[in-house]
Amino acid sequence: MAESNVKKSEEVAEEHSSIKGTVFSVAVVGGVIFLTYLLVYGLYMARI
Amino acid sequence: MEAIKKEYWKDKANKALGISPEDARITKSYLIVAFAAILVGGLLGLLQGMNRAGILELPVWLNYYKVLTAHGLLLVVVLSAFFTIGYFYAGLSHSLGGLLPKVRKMAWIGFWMKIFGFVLAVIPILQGDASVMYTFYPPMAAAPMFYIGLVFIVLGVWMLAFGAFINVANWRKNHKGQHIPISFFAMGVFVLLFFGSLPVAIEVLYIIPWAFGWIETINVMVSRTLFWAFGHTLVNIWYMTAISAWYVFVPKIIDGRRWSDLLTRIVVIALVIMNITGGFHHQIIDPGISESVKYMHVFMSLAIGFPSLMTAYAMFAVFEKTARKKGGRGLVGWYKKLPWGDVRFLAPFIAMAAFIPAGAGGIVQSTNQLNQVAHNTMWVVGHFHLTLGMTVVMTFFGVSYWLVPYVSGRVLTKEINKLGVIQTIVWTIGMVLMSGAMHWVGLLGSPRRTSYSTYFDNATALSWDPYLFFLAIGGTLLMIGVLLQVYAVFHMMFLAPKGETEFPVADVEEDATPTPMWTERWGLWIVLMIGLVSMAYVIPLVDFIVNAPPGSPPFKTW
Repeated sequence: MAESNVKKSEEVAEEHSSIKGTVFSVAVVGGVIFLTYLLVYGLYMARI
Repeated sequence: MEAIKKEYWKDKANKALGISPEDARITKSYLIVAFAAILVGGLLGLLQGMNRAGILELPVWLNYYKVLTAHGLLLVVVLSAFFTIGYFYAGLSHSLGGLLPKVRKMAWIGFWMKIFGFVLAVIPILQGDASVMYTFYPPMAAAPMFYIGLVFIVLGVWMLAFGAFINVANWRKNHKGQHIPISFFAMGVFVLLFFGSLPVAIEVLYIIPWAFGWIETINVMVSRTLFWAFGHTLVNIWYMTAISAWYVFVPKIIDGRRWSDLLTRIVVIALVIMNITGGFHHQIIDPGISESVKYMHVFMSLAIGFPSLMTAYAMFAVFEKTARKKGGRGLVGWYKKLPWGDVRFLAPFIAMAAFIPAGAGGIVQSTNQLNQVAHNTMWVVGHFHLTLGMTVVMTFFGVSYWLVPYVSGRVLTKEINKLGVIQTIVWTIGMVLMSGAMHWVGLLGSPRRTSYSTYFDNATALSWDPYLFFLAIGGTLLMIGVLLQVYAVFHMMFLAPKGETEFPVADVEEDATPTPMWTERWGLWIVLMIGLVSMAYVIPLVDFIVNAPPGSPPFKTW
């Protein structure tokens, strides 16, 4: 019982200090930049 | 000792009692002008959008180019500058223990100089003698009064910048060894306003004798270069104003804390040092500039992306940390814990989200070759409506829901908050439609800065029409958004119940490391900025002057 409580509180603490959402959100920003670049680069290549 | 005591009590009193009536009057006046500008400028924008979509034919006395010039001047110069100054002067008053009497006087002189300059600039626009648009590129020439008006606007801005410097210098003298508080952003913005407007002041002083006919020709390339050294800096001044609210106030509104004072300051310093050189990418397909100079400028423009990416990380980190403290879980599930019903958060959040595609578009169009796909097309118009109209203006709207009640001694009511949420949604849909249509039709080749034309029923030009129709729908929604926002501001300023509203400055993290004092070395940042500006501009400007093509006489193209 005590062991599971400790495990649970460790999980909560881990969840509190997690930055996975931040990393994911920043990755979305990177993805949008990459896709926009790809779109316009594709158009550029198609037109030259 | 006596002076320090006096300052200490002034600080305490200011924080406890709120802004002094004299300082509040300054900010209120600036905000009234800013929101009056968005009302008139928005209406002109709607007319312009309707005309561009081929739905509305404007009368001869109010042609497209006249409307475009007035729309640009009202929203780009008046709205943004007046809001920025009103907002930062409230911040200076709050964090520095009130404005000094002489600074108040300077703020009023600057205010009236700007109004006077604006009236001088508007008269020739209304008379049809200055349809030169916001960029007023030579060889298009307006009536001299237009440029004289611009001189007064710049002088007014300088007055405000020096007022801020004097107030900060006085605070530093009485608070030796302490960090400039939130006014660090104000310092960055006013340093850029002063140094960024120097090139345009030189340009205007060079245009005036040409507009009067005292000199016959003008060097077009020099004037374009001087303009963009200012024009793009102005864009980033609005952006820096917006991010100041993201870093300092938004965390407090969501019951969080600022993420890192050191990172915040590094972002401000980087933006100050690297900003002015970014302007050159507007000339990336101009003739007469060597490829090596263009590549250097592409790099310098893209460098501004780094502080923006740092900001993205910092903001997401603040949101996640705060949401998880409130019980948020999962990879994205924690977003649910953020206060979506609070317009003071919702509006700046959507503004930040809009900066993701806006920033991406900016990076793409600053790239040497890719700029050729988008240059002088409607894509560019879509880009700056997404950056200024969404990222910056929606942040300003979000700020207005606490700043206006704060300076008016009133409170934000539930009804106005609800109205603000509706306004935010209407504005978002309107801008997504309008800016999205502009981006896409731009990629299909539709040019900017032209009134509606089918180019003798050309098939390509006719294919743009459906997208331009979306532009008009978006513009109509935006006008509804303007009316709602102006009503909300009017209500909060004059009708809302009296009460106390907090100036919501977030605290740093409890375990935050102390901010190093080297961040306060403004002299060094300015020297570095001047060094970088010289590196960027000396070679091309000398080249434009030494190898100058024949100058151009003035043209009136409208």
